[in-house]
Amino acid sequence: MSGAPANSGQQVLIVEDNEALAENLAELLEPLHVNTRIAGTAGECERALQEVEPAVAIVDVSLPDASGLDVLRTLKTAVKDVEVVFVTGHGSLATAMDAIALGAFGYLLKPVDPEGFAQLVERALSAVSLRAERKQLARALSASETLHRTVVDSVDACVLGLRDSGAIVMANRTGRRLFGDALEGTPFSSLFEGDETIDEKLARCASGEATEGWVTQHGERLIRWSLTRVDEEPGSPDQVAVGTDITEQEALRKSAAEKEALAAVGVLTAGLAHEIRNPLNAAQLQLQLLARRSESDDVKGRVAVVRDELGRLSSLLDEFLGLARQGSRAEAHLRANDLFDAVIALEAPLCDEHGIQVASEPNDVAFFGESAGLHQALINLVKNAREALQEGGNILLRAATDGDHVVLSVLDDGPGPDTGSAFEPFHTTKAAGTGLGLSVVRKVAEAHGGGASLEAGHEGGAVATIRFPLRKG
Amino acid sequence: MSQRLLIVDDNKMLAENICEFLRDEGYDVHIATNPEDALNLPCFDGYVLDVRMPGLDGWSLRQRLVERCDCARFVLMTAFQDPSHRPAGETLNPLPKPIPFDRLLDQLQS
Repeated sequence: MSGAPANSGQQVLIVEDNEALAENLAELLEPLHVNTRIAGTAGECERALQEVEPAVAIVDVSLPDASGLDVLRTLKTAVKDVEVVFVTGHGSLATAMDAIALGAFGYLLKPVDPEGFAQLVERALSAVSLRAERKQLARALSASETLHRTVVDSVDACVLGLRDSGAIVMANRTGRRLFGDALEGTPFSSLFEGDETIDEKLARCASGEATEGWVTQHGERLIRWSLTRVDEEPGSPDQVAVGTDITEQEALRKSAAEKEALAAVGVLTAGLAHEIRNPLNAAQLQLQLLARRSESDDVKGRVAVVRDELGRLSSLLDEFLGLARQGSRAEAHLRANDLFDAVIALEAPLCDEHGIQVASEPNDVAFFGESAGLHQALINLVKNAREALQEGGNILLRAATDGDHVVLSVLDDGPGPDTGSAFEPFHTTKAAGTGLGLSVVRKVAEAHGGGASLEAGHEGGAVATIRFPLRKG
Repeated sequence: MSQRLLIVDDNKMLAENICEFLRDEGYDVHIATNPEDALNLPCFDGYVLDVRMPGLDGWSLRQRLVERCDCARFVLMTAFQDPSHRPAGETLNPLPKPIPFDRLLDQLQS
């Protein structure tokens, strides 16, 4: 081999009381380019160990102040990986054999054969460096494994190593969290409760065909899976399955799509409503004129019917606008009294016609919310109560705070509620109803983070309630 | 002498309908489809104003008219009933559209 010898720079400690022999041995090691140090006694050896860390020690079995075995122990304690070569006369061969049993690398008989000595020391040095190298490799390997394991474990997706047979051979942390700790050895298809297409997918992937992603449901979670073929390497799985949890993503996508659809409907409806409302208004005004100018009760009666029908169209328009408006909300500081006043101003004339009194309780409830939506919701509740009362009765608007919630109620003294799915769109038990009114109420309540309910009142009648968290802006 | 009224609504057809009705009731009724025109005419005894109009809304128009014609009566009408469309501090409730003739007369005569 060219260049410096492999063991160059390693430390060799010679523990030998015969100074001439010690120097002789040191000289024999010169071709190895090692650093040598000589200690004449066991005590000197201990001092030397404070300063140097020998890879190999050459120890005379019979020292004046200690036995070779004692020195061996001292050396092994001080330097864990040191190799010790004994030098012994014939008389102490037995000790040298004991030393081998205790972990010495080898021994030399006096008189020392120069070539055999150099070779033995070189072998000891190689053994030490080989061991050090192996240790370093093992450390590097373990670090690399830790690195990969940490990366694979910290991925927010289920990563499973599979055999072509479908057996799971490895699962990362997310995989174990989703499907339990005892995954290794179980078949991949067992995660899908007997879905037969799974084995097909595995086979396709095994034969190198591309496998498309697929989505499965596991309890509440939606997982999108993909299978990838792994290049064959010793110890690697045949395939890797990656499952990404798309539950939240899917929910967001759905709600965004819903919002978008509502907003689109909202824009369409607002435009359409404007186009419809103008001719509707004109027609109703003309009918009012017609009724006033006509002397005939028959004509007046028919005009009233047409007006009522147009009125239904008009309220259908309002209710549909209310449902569609949920796409675009503008919030503001509101006072319940203002909302109630506007609702009563609009509803009182109609209530009057049917002998119904509508009033509100004084209150100082103020909150942050969407005025147009709440106005429409209250109108719908009053309308609902008015239609339940039919002829005569009382409607009361009440606002209160309950802890950190706002409670807006519409109470009537009618026949009691028609509950069930009253808050579903197009549910109606009334001949005149569109079924949209209460679903608008619920939508508005939900848009404020709350809910709506319709119950029997404590003293008869019905109580419709909108309840949502109080916000001050 | 009959009372002079001005209807201000950018929708000419609706304004004409209301005009016809109020003439039946004996008022001397005029129409403006542009809110700016209302400011350039001499004072009327009463005004019927649409709330939502391009340029000047009914509330602002009323404010400007009150400064000039302080004893005039005002009726506002709107298709948008929720109170968020009402300026802060304003207590008058506009009449809903289509305007109920009975309530229009009530407000003009009260």
